[in-house]
Amino acid sequence: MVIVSWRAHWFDGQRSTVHAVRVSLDGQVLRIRPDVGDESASRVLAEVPTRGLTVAERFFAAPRKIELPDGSSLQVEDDPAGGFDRILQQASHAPGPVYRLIDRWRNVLACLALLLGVIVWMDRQGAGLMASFVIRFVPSSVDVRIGRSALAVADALWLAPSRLPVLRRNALEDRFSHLVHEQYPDLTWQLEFRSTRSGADAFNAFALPGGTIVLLDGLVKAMDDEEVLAVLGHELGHVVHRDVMHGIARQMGLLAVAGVVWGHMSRFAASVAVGVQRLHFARDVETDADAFAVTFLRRAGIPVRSLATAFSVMQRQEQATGAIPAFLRDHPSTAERLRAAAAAADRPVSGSSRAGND
Amino acid sequence: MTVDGEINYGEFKREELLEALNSIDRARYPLNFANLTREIDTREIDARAPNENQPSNILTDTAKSGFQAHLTFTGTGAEYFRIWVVHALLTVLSFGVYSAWAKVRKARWFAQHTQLLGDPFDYHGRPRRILLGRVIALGLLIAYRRSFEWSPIAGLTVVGLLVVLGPALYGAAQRFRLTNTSWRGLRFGFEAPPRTVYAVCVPLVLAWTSATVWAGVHGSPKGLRAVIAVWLLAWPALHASLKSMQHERTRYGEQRFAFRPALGAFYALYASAVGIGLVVYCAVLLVGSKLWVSLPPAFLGTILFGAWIVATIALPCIVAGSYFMAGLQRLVWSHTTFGELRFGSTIQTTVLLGLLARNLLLVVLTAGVYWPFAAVAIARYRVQSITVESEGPPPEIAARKHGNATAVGDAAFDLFGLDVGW
Repeated sequence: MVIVSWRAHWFDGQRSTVHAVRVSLDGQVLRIRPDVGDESASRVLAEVPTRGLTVAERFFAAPRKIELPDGSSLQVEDDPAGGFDRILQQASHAPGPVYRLIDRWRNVLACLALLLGVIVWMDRQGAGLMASFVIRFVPSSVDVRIGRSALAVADALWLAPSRLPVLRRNALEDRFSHLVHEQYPDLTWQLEFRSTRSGADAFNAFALPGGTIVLLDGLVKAMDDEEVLAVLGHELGHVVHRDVMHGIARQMGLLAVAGVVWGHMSRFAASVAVGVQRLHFARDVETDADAFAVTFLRRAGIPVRSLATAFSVMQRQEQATGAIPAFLRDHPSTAERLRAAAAAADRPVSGSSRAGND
Repeated sequence: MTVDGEINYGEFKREELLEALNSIDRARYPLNFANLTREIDTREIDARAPNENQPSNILTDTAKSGFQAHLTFTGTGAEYFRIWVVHALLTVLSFGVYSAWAKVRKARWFAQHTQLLGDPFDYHGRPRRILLGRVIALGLLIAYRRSFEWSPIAGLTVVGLLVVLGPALYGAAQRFRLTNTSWRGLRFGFEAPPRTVYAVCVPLVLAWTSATVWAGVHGSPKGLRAVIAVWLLAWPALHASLKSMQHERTRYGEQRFAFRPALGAFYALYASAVGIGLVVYCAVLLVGSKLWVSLPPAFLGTILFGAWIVATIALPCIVAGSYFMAGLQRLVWSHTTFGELRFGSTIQTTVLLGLLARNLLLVVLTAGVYWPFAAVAIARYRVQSITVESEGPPPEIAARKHGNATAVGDAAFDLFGLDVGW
């Protein structure tokens, strides 16, 4: 009689010796015989009920690993059709649900589609929603500390004290202070004037967590007071909405997802992907801050037109230095922003604005 | 012209195979070489299997003479892709909880597809313990990253905690990883007295945290360069002592591995890797600046400028990185022995560089989907480069009872990225 059997290596768990054997499955019993020519004649080395076996999940063509109750183990070479596995499964060692997902390409592709869906949703909405939820529990003292250390680093590496006339600085700060106090009496904020170490008149303004707004000399020099106030209105939008903290929380969430999907080895690739997404997200935030600035100016009684003229000053500046390609910009294009600001300026004052009401 | 990887060694006779092994140009035909060694490994199994003429004493291993073998890797990118997709989805949906189960399956897949002398390794770690380890490690990591934002005292407390706990966690991690790895039914192990682990790991923890501590206590990055420079000079020695401990404290069954000291070789490796990185950096800078002058600052110019900026960072990193990875593997394994067994590595910088460049490019072009294929291709080359040889037959090793290993340490060093393993 011919016994259906499979080649295996049997390890006793006591020594590293290889025992070449053949295993057969007969009903609920696994039999081990030496790997010699005539199987039916050779003696049975061991007989184990399949219930007592610990069967590891199978990986495709890798040898099947089976642990026996006596501490020895088997490494079975299944046939390409998986005959050994089929009989073993009938003997109540069915694979788990996750294994069934991995085992079929159809399931794997469904998982891939779902995974891509989750990642896209996290990017568009999920990470933002979670960030909004999480930063509610972050006390504002953390914002202040992060903002302070960011300014200290910038001061040490990049920024220098402002060289603007004190008179102009004071005038701007007084006027802005008055307007903010009128509209947001409880808001903590701080205005810092700076130039850059390189001496070049850098054209920029930015908000840090904790309410610090930094104005660079180049920008202030190129604009009149009302245009500067329009820029400050935009930055105030970031302060009121805690945009930087929101962005940090959102980015941490997306990095965590990227870390799970691509692992530690590709942390670099993951951070590039998240970085590009951050820019995309930042553009939406900037549009909101522009809308906030429109409302701020309107309530302050300053013509909204000054936001539009501030953008045209910016546009001239960009034409002199060269624009950045769209996908690398963290702000919408200045032309778009100018158009939106000009449209807002033309709208009657009663027109509703979606930002700044909270 | 012959194409690498096209020769079917299955049709070769035993003598022809051995002759091919002696004459093959490994650097030029790495795929042929891998196929050839795999074929030889497979035949050796056949040779060991008892035949009808012998008494059926299956306890006899018939290999009598010396041998030389490569580790082989039998997993494919497509298989790993399937595991990776399902793991990534379940981990994201379970907010990271499933990652412990994913880690076990992944480690089992890699171990079971890594073969030495025809028999695969295996991994036996328990997911629940890994999960607990990850929670503790994540807590420590967050505490470390954020504590200096609260106050310097809080920061120093966490660093103190890391100095006290870190080495113990590292020792536990090594034990967990090795006692849960087996080959031919026997477990590996890690045996280092706490004194040794602390002597090796405390300087590493201090070096790793020094920049953060300095910035946190001073509140500004001034003077940071001096601190970093001091630790950079000490780093090769720290790395050498870590590798030395990792290898000489590892055992298989009851027998320990040995590691010959290699302090000078570590300094030479680091110095030449940094040198190569600088040369490539200067070359890219020079070529780029020449090009930049001749280009108009239009849209295309801006794109090329961006590509150049990326290249100045990425090219030196990848060239010096593959030189370092290859050199480190050769250095570490050529100093490792196990009884009569000697290890080595045939890994080549140029082959690794080509492999890394091609695979990283494909990962970027496919928005990350190619990642599992890339990971397997790189792992396969690195695994298959490792050689084992001996004058005598493969030794028979007896088992030794393994102690308890905690997963906490394992996960801790996974997350801190301090495990500079092979």
